[in-house]
Amino acid sequence: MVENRPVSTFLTHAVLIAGVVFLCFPVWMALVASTHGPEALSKAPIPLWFGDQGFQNYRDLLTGGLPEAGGVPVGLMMLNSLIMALGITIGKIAISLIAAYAIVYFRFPFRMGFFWMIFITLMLPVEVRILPTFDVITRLDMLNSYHGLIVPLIASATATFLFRQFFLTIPDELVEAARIDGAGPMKFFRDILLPLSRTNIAALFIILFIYGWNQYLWPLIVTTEERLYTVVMGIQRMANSGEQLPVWHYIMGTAILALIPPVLVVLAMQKLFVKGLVESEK
Amino acid sequence: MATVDLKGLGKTYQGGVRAVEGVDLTIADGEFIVLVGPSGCGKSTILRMIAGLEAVSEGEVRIGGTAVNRLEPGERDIAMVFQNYALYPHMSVRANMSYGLKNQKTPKDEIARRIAEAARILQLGDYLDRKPRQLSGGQRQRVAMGRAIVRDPKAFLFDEPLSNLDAKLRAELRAEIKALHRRLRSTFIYVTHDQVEAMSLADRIVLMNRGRIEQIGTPMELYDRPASRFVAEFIGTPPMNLLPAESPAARALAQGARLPQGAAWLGVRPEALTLARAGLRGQVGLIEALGADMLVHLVAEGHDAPLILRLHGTARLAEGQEITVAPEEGTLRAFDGAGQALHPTAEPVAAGG
Ligand SMILES: Nc1ncnc2c1ncn2[C@@H]1O[C@H](COP(=O)(O)OP(=O)(O)OP(=O)(O)O)[C@@H](O)[C@H]1O
Ligand SMILES: [Mg+2]
Repeated sequence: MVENRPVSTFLTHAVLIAGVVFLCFPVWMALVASTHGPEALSKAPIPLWFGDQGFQNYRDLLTGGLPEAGGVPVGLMMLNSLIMALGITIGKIAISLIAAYAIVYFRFPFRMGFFWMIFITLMLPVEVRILPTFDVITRLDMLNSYHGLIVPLIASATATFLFRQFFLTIPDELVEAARIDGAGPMKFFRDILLPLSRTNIAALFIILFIYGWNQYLWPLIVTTEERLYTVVMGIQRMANSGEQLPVWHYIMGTAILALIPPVLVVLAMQKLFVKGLVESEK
Repeated sequence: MATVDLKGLGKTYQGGVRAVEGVDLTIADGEFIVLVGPSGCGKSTILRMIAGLEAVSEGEVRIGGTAVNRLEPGERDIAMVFQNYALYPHMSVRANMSYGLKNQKTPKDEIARRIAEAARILQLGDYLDRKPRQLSGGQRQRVAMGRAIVRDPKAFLFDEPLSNLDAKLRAELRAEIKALHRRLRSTFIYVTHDQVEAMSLADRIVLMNRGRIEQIGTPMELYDRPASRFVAEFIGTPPMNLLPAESPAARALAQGARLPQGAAWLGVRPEALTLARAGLRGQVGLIEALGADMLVHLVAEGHDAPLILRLHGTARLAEGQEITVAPEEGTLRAFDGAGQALHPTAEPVAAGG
C-alpha cells in the first residue's frame, strides 16, 4: 500500500474485521451448537457459548450409528467422502495431465479435433448428463460401489485446458535441450514436465478436492446402501428426517467434522503452492 | 570429436518456406566453424538439422562419417548451447549437468568426476548446488556450456549463445569459448549474426545469404577477398566502400589502371584509403574520433554517398578541408553487375601503374 495514514489503516482494518466476523459467525454458531444437548437449541435464546455436551456429541457421531442418518456412524461417512474426493482429485489430475501432454507435445491425426472435443465437454457437467451417465453406470454394474461414485466424475476438461495452457508456456528450447540430453517422451514427462507443473497440481488439488468432497447429487443417485453414504448426504438426511424434530446438535457436529478434511488439504497444499510460486522462474 | 559433413542439405518448412538450399560443407575434426549471416538466412535451421531437432528435407548430415538423418538428437552424440540457456529450472546446476549423463547410464563416480572437471574449467564450483534462477545470465550460459562439456560429445553446437548478454560479458565469454575450443580440440559449430564474434572465433566462416552459402573461408579470406558484394558489405565495420565503376570518383581512385572486363562496382576498405598527392579529391565531412583511429566521411565529387576512411587517430583534419586520397597497392576489389567478385581467388585488381 502506498497510503499509510492512521485513519485509512483503521478503516481498512475495520472493514476486514467486519468481513471476518461475518464469514466466521455461522461456523462459530455451528461449533457452539454441536456442544449442546438437543433441547438447548430448540428454544430461544440460542446459546452463543459452548455447552457441556460436546465430547459426548462427537463420540456419538463418530462411532454410534445414528438412526436419523440411516444408522451409519459419521466416521464411516467421512471415510467414504474421503475416498470419493481423493479418487476424483487424483484421477482428474492424472488424466488431464496425460491428455494435455498428448495434445501439446504429440502430432497425431485430428489432434485439434480431440482438443475441441474435450473443450466442449466443459459445457456438460454431471448435472446435465446425469440420465445417460446413470444408464451407463447401471449397465456396467457399477451402482453402489466406490468406482461408480468416482469414475463418472473423473474426466476434467477444465484441468486439461489448464495444463495445456501451462505446457504451452514452457519454452521449446527446454524441450529441445531435453531431447538432446537423450530424454525420451516418458522421461521428459516424469523428469521435467511433472516437477515444473507442481504448483499447478497443488492449486488444482485444492479446487478438485473440494469439488469432490462437496458432491451431492451424484452420490445420492448411485448409492442406495447406507455403508456408501457420504458425509454431505448424511447431513442432508439428518436435516430432513421426516416428522421428528431435526437433531440440530448432531447436524452441526457433522458439519464441523465435514469441514476438517478440506481445511487440512488447503493447509497442506498451500505450503507446496507458495513454495512453488516462490521457486518458479522469473 | 568428429568430422561433420553436410551434403546437398536443404530444408523446406511446412507451408513451403525454403529455409536452406543445397548446402555442401565439410567440417574437419576439431575445427571451429562459424555460420554467420543476416537474420532469417537459415543459420539456425542448419544447426538444428545437424542436431536432429529439425527433419532434413533433402541431402544428408554425416557425423564422424556415419549418416545420422534418421537418428534422434539424443543418439547423435552432440551437445547444444541455446541462446536462452534452456536450463532445467527445477534442477540444481549439478543436476542440470548430470541429466544427460544419467540418461546415458554413465556410472555415478564418472559423472561426479566429469562435473568436477567442467566446474573447474568454467569456474562453476561455488554454484553447483544453486538453481538456475539464482544465477546471472553469464553464469547460466556457463552452466549450459558445462552441460555440453560433460557429455564429451562429437561436436558442440552453439546457437547465438551470447546474444542475451551485455557487451562486456559477451567479450569475456567469447574469449572463454575460444579458450575452451583450444583446450578440448573438439568440433565446434557456432551460429551468430554478429560478425565480430564470427571474425574472432572462427577457423573458417560460412557466410549465408537467403538459405545458400555465399562464401566459405578463413576470416581473413572473407575480409580480404570477398566472393561477392554481399560478403564485402556484410563483413567489416564500417563496410567496404562501393562505387559504380563508371563514376568519375571510381576512375579517380583507380588512377588509370584497367578494371577487369565487366566490372560494375569498385570496392575499397576504409583503412585501405590513405592521404596521397594524386587520386580522389573530396571534402571532409563528419569525423568520428574513436581513439586509436578515426572514421572520416569524405564527400567526393561525382559520388553521392560519402566514402568512409579509417585514419590513424593522430591525423590532423578539420571538417570542410579538401583532401586527396588513394588506395594502397593491391586493395581495390571489383564486382560485376550481379555482385560477383571478378577475381574471387586470383590476384586482386592492380592499382596504380
Ligand atoms: N518452424 C518454422 N516454420 C516455418 N518457417 C520457419 C520455421 N523456422 C524458421 N522458418 C523460416 O526459415 C527461415 C530461416 O530461419 P532460421 O531460424 O534458420 O534463421 P536464422 O538465420 O537463424 O535467423 P536469426 O539470425 O534471426 O536467428 C526464415 O525465413 C524463417 O522465417
Ligand atoms: Mg537463429
